[in-house]
Amino acid sequence: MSMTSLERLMVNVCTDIKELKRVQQDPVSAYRAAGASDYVIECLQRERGSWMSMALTMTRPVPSQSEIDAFVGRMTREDAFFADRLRVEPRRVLERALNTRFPSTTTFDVVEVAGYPTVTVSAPLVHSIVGAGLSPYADADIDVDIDVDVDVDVDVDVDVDIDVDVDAIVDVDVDVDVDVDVDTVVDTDTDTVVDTVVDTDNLGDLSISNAERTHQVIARQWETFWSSHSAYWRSRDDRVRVDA
Amino acid sequence: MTETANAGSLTVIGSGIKSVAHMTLEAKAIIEAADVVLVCSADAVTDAFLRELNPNVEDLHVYYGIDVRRRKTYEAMTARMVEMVRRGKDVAVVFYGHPGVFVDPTFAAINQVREMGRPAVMRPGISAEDCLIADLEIDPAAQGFQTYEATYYLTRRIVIDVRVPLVLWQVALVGDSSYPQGGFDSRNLGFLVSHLQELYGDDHEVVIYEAAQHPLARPRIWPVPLSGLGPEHVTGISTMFVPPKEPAFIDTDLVEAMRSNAPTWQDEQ
Repeated sequence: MSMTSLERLMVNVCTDIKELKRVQQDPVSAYRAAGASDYVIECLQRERGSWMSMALTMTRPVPSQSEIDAFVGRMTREDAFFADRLRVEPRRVLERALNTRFPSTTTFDVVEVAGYPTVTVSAPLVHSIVGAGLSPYADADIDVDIDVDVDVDVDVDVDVDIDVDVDAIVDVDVDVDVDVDVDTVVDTDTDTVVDTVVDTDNLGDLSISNAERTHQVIARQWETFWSSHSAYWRSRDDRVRVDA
Repeated sequence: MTETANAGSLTVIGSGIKSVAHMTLEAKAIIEAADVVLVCSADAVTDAFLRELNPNVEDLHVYYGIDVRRRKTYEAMTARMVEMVRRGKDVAVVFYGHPGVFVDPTFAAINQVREMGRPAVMRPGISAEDCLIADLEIDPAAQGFQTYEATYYLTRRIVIDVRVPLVLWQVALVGDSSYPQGGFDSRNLGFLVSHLQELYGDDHEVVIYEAAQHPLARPRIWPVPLSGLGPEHVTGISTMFVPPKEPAFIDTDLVEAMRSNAPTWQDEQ
């Protein structure tokens, strides 16, 4: 199976430090040159594995229907457990097995205008990524198609933040829950890094025993070690990047 | 399926944590040579790379499910590995991280394949513990190292030494054997935190850690006091590192006794 340009880039940075540094210097340009859309770039820049994987999978070509049918036919004949999983979670199982993400368009009513037919909005929908609890299209410039059956002046902001959860999109009849959420802004609260300096030369009362003196030295070395590490960990505190 | 005589083998390998960057040359060679590659990876880059190395890839992740206990999932994974060997295939099984760390199905499959009289081996990969040691800069040899799966630790009432660094794995999954699609809710984390507070005190600072899954991703290193630790701090891949509460002192009498027991040539130097 051939890789997409973006996948090739992401593999290359794993095996080539010069390439990694090049991408780190200007990731947006590198991702864009590899064909990534603005939304995929946004996901990649979260610098978290789950988001990066989701973004990459979205860029993969979807297998043809005949390929999917052949795969499903073979696996369901060979593996009863797989067949059961496919029955319960068809979309997730197929996307995982085929290393892709199925685009889909679901149309749902948004408003009724008196005297006119219902105005509908069609939006591409993608399953929430496991673990993050957010739709990948939340807070994204989603490509919303507005299908208006008659000439009516409708003012719709296509950049609206929509968190969409869809169950079993493979099924024809889809239950759609639409929530409009305001994204929570995570405060950046960077803790102050405090260097701890321990004077290891001053061992105190010289009348103490060798054993006690040894213990004092050990205790101070111990404190120095862990306070230094604590400061180091705080310097790398990345809570602002926590998903969901 | 018909069993093929005197053919088929199982090689279990780990692809590491940081995507393709952690894959060993040994693992790459095994994947390329295999008849079929059964994969449970944690990232899409590794998936793409594996499928280029060998087109005969099957994804074991499909056996997870929102309505399936993880034990059942592991049994299904094991059955698939064994079945492919039974058909006479040289099977490479790839798990992310180390294939022998937190991976029940690989041990079960190795045992079953050997019972069939077919060869089965495990090759190491870079584990999350390896990443933790590097990212937190902790040397297990310096002050010791205690490491437990969180549910095992809590339910067995394991006795630990608070003078030795402690690592608890899968803290978000404490007492939860399911595979929720929206992520683990850490409903039982409070039991673990309360227990640790009794041992270490409320103010003791622990580190919630998650390794980077790609060179362009970052590890998550989050220091937090036990008194403030809650479900909002952890995800399904979080590990808790608990620094020691106090130092372990040297038995100076024992040290002296061993020193006096040294051979005479050491005194002459």
